[in-house]
Amino acid sequence: MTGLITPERGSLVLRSSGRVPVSGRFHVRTVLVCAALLLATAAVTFAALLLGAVVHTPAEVVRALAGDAPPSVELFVVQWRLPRALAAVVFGALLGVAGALFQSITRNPLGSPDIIGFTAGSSAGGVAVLAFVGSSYLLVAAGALTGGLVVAAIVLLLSRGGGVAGFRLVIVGIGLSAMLTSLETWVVLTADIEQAQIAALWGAGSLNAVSFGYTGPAMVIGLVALIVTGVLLDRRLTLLELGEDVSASLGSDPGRTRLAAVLAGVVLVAVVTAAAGPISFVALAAPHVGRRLAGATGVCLAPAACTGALMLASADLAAQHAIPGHSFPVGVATVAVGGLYLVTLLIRENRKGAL
Amino acid sequence: MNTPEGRPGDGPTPLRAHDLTMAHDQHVVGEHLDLEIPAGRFTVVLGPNACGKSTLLRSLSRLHEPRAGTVYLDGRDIHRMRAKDVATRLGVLPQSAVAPAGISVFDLVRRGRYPHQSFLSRWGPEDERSVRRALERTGMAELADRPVDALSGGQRQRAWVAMALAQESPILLLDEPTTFLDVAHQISLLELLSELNRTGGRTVVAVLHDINHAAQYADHLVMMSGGRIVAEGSPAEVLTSELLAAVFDIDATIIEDPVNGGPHVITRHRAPAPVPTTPTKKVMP
Repeated sequence: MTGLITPERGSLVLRSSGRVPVSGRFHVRTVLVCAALLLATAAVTFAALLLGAVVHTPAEVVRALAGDAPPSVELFVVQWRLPRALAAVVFGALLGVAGALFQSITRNPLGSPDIIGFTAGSSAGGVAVLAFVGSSYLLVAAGALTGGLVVAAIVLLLSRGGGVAGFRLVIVGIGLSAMLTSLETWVVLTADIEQAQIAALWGAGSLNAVSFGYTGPAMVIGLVALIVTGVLLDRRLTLLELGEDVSASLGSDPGRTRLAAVLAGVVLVAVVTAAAGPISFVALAAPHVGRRLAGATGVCLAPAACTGALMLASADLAAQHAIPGHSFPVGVATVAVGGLYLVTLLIRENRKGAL
Repeated sequence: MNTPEGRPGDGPTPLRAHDLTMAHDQHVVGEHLDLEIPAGRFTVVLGPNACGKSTLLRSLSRLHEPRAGTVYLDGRDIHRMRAKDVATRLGVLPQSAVAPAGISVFDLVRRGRYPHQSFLSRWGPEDERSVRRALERTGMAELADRPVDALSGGQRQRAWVAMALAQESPILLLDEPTTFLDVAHQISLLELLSELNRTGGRTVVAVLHDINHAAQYADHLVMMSGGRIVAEGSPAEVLTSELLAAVFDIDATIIEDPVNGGPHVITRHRAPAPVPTTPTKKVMP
């Protein structure tokens, strides 16, 4: 099998002339940006392994990862810090992609799951399960997924008249989010005090209690969903951006694409939310930042994933160590920064007249 | 039907509507339509606003599912074919095509290759050739790297035609492609379509508004009114003052086009029918 790589219009064309023809076209800047983002994410992750109540040297961390460090070092690095650091990377990527999916199908930069209520739905579902049922991952995940799907159905139904795109969807979503947040508060208030405390902690969005036992399944399910989404939906969403008619006339069913994207997005959000509680802002901002960095147009799932990973990894590192002696839930950090970002975004969109 | 001999693409009717009834929700826009699109010809559909011509075009291109009746593409029910199979046979330029912000002409045109691509083979040599050919034929090769939203209306429409051409489909359907263009760009687009039809042997179907453009470029003219096909044939056969009066409610004089010898329509707003006057008799005492 011979391969062929040719540069063309800022893209690399890859072709293999085997029995099954394989070919693809890659935007060079996108590939470079993704590589750089992943490198930066790796650096942040490594820093997260070094830092803590006990600061280790890089050499110790490398040895611990390789499996020949003293048990005390391994306990800190591999047992405690690694699951949390990896979870931040994977969950960040999932949220970034979920945001890119929703922004693409709503054709609205504000159409991210944390604005249009899907995150709040997952969160309310999760809190209800935690408060009244139990705290195993699968139970919480089922609750979060149900909450997310129910909200997705309601939002899509209520915004039908205005089309999936646009203002109405965002407004309906914001309204539902507010209602769900108060519902969540009510659930916490009525629940048994211990469970209420667990639920409230979870509701802040935190990676504090992360261990492989709890988040392992979430990471595996999430990564699988991520890859399936990328492979199956990327090109179809690119076509859908040309409008329903053009997409249909090129042989891709717009209704099915949209439904698949909503389902995939809700699953991605629910997987993360069930494991770590609601973490906002990443899904909103990662797609914008990633697209801008890559200098590309359209849906851009890969840059969104890489940017999301870097954002959540950095946010969690900052939440743990920015103020010495105080470790915040990462959700608090992202909400604080995200609020500012949302305000600037609203002002910019308002000026463009897109709202 | 006029059939000048020796044209490429002549053959059995590739696209045919049988007993078509079309409706939007409860509102029926056309009933029991039968239509055959002649192979290798430039067919123009004319008719007043809301006569159902756009819906007919959408039904022919599988974008609108008719209430009853069947559209046959190469003898097969188009709504039972795989969407990708239809897309390799039939390209569509819908009425309101808006390119995403910032997308380049090249990126737009290459999306037309989707129906020919597969999961693994996403950008083969054939894709590259088709896109280059489409850009050259539409005169867009030099503008390939420009963002679509920075182009003039006429260039933008050409970029969309290039996208449909990259599909390499033998049939091309266009819904009011000249609307919103100035007259020079209208003519240049119609010349392009006509050339694609003549030299490429493509079957072209376009919904147009301008009667004289239709007269000048169509081989085959379909006149619609109130959801029915009221006349069909060569422009000379279809364009008569009686029919134009009945369909558009205009007074029209048909003269011979001094350039190409075809019909040319001179239109005037229809004067209200004169009130019959009865001579008044003076009653003499």
